[in-house]
Amino acid sequence: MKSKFLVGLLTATMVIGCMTGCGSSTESSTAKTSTVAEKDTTATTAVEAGNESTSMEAAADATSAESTGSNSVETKPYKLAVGLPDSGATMFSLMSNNIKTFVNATGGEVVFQGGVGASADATIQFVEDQIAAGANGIIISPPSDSVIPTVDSLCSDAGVYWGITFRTVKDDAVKELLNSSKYYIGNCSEDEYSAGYKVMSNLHDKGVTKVAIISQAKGNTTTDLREAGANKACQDFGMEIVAEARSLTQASDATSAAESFLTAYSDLDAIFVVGTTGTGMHEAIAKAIEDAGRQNDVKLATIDFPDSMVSLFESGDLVTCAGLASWGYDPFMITVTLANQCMGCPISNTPVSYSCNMFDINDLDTAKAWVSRFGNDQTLYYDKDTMVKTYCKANNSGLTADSMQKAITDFTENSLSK
Amino acid sequence: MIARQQKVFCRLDIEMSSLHSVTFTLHKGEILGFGGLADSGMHDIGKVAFGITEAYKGKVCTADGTEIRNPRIAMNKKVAYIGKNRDQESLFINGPIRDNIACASYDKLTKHMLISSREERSFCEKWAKVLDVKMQDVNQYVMELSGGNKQKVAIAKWLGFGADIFILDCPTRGIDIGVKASIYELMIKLKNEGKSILLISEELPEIIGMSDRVIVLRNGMISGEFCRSEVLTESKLIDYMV
Amino acid sequence: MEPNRQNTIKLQTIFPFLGLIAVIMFFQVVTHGSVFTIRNIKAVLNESFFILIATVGFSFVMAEGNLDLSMGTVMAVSCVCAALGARITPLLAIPCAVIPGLLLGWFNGFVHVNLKLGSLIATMSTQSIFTGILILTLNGGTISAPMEMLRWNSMTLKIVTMLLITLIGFYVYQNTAFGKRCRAVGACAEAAKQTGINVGRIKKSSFVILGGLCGLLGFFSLIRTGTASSSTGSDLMMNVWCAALLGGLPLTGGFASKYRSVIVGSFTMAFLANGMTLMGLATYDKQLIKGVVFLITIALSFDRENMVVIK
Repeated sequence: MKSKFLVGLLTATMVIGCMTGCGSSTESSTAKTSTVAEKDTTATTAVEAGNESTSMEAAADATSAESTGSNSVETKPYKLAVGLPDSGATMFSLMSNNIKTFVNATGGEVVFQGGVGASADATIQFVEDQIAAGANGIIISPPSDSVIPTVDSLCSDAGVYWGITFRTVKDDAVKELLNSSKYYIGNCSEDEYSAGYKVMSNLHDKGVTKVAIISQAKGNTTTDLREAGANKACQDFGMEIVAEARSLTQASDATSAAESFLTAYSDLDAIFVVGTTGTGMHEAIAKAIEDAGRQNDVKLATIDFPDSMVSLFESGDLVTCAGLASWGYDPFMITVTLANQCMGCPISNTPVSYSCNMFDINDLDTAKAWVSRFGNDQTLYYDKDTMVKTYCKANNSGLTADSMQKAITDFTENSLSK
Repeated sequence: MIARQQKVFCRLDIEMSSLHSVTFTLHKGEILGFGGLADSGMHDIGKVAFGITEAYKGKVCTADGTEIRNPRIAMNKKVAYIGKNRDQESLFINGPIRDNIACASYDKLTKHMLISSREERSFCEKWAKVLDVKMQDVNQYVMELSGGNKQKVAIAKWLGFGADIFILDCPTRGIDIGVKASIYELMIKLKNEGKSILLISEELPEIIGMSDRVIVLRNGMISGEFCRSEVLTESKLIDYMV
Repeated sequence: MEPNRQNTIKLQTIFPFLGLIAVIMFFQVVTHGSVFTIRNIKAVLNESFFILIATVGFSFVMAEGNLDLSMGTVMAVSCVCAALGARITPLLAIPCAVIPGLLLGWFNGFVHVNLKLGSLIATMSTQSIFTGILILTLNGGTISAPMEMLRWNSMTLKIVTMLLITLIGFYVYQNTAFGKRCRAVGACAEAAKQTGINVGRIKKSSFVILGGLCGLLGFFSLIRTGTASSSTGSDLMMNVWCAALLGGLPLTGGFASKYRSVIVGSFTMAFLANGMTLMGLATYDKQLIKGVVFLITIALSFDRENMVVIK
């Protein structure tokens, strides 16, 4: 008897829930329209992406007439999901601030989520969840090429655009699939191979011969390329990678790895952090080296500038690192491309492929200069007006994949001169 | 199945007493009583007979020579066992009466690999009724019953199973007079139906009153064997026990 | 004697159910009706697929009062075997996933029963062993599935599999001698033994069943993500434990373990995780909320009186 009552209650809940669902969405959208119009000065079609209805469009038009600095052409509202964390290290918040600035100024919403690139399961779950939550565009950093076909089919089935950041696609079959996909907008990656090569050859210049590396799982195209570059440098300069640790996720893992390297190899010269998803890793390794008393013999090198770069250079632990002008710039540019696609004014009709060049920092002064410019999360890559005017195709019809690539190259070159 | 022969050498843990060269036979339609002090080893007789514990030497067999090495084999030969520790060993205290009664008879109740809930329920209700268990319904948890009713549930389990040989260790301990009497009645009824009972008890009146034969154990060895007779008194038994 | 044990049991079964309803209603209101859209129900079903099937298997082990820490690792190893088998031919993927699962499950049972280690310690050690095998096989990398196999990942297949396994699990758990004996072992192993139940065999069989189901999940993970990696199934164990406890399955097993807990708990976990994503919560907030909900449900429904040390 009691169980039947409970079943009835659950069914009633579901029925009421469905009715509530259908009924309230229009109300909530109009309510949100007014709040957004109040708080966002450059709001245009600033309406939440919910169920569409003609009355909402009319309300939106009314709002856009009031606001200033609006898009000259009507663009669609949109919702983006980015599979990267927005907090934890300065580079994450710097990236998310810039993306949020652009997206909010062009009538969209964006959500971030950490822990997505850690495993194939997490990536797929993220994509499924965000599609269900109503995203129009998704950015991910896939842990390996093998998840890409599933992601593409999920997005294509749902009519959601998507793009890749920080990775290149290696597998030929997957490349072919992406070329013919209508919903894949492209990728943005760094010149990983030369970065790996550069750091390793810098280490050679400092007299290093034996190196231990910390990296991601094999199959991760980014670290594979970096390692390939590093290996070539080893060949060219007669160095040797003696040990490796992979897929570390937290600082304590880094400490254990460093300690085992130091104990096992008494003639170790350097620990090279090729790639990692954790935070606080470099500080942990530097501390492990100092605790073992070997800071004069064992140096630290890394790709991607760590938060503690200045203090690590000061203490002499860090000797060389390569990175982007700003770590968040790569996802920013590809998200801009995705946003334009979702707004209805695509930058390109075929998948784009941007390449960000890296540069290396080998001394304290350069490090300080970089940190003062990019080491805080308030720096904007471009000011808000420039973002809206130049990087939204609706306002700038001359925006193409090539002009985006040029902007990227210029950015890196001019990054320290401002 | 007519008679059951036992020949047991048994040495157990240092804390428990040992059984030395214990040999006996149980016959059909007979109540064989075991008496002795608590540490005489008589409780272990029950455990070995049912196959719960293993004897160092010697074996327990049924009439046709099947050696009983574990409870499953014992049950295949229609042997039942109710131990001394009712709450920890012969019943699932934290379970409903229903599961307690049915648990020995799952093989019997299974049809086409499934056990019908309804059939299980009526099976349990039937046997609970036969023993007149005082309960709310078969879904009541055994821990809520009185000692006497708990024992009835344990007996119901084995009656439902259809055992022919019963090993009962202190069956009426901690039970009130009324239920005690009905259990004695039940034992006599079973005997008259041709079932055999191996009765182990620390209560002398019970041993004397119910058994056809009595074996007394002292320090793990048989110290005396008696048949039912008028002159068998408690004091005589005590002489053999101490 | 406690006057109304039955009523306590009834309360324990109601709370998880109420929890499920509360979670659904809460998210439905907060997300303005996004919970019951077709797309979202699909996402919920996807989320609950893995948890539900693993919890079905886990219910047998838990009914005996045992635990299994190695579920996720068994799933990962099976996923790798399935990927390797699929390289020869995709049809081999399913047997290559389920058979290792059964074997690893049997090994769990062996360590627990024959080596006489408590299930917690036993499965902790087997988990380390299996993880070692996993890492050695993968050698730091991942294995990908052939692309044709990704088409198999259809909603229909998943729904049919979920229904079939849940139903079969229900009948085996409630209405077969085996299921009842599992619960008897959990209620009191000694009494079970004295009723002729082969305790060792029952325990081993449950571990084998759980292993087999985790193996099957390895196959499904492969066709869902196209990848077998060392992080496959990494959160399966926690999710299943939470689902089982949220659903009201007692840690000590026994006769109070009802099958419906499996379903209620799994869906509560799925709706909870899904709802939090719909709300746009960050990963860290999600974990905090999961923990709080878990704590509340357990505190209300845990059977403290019958707490016995885990066997």
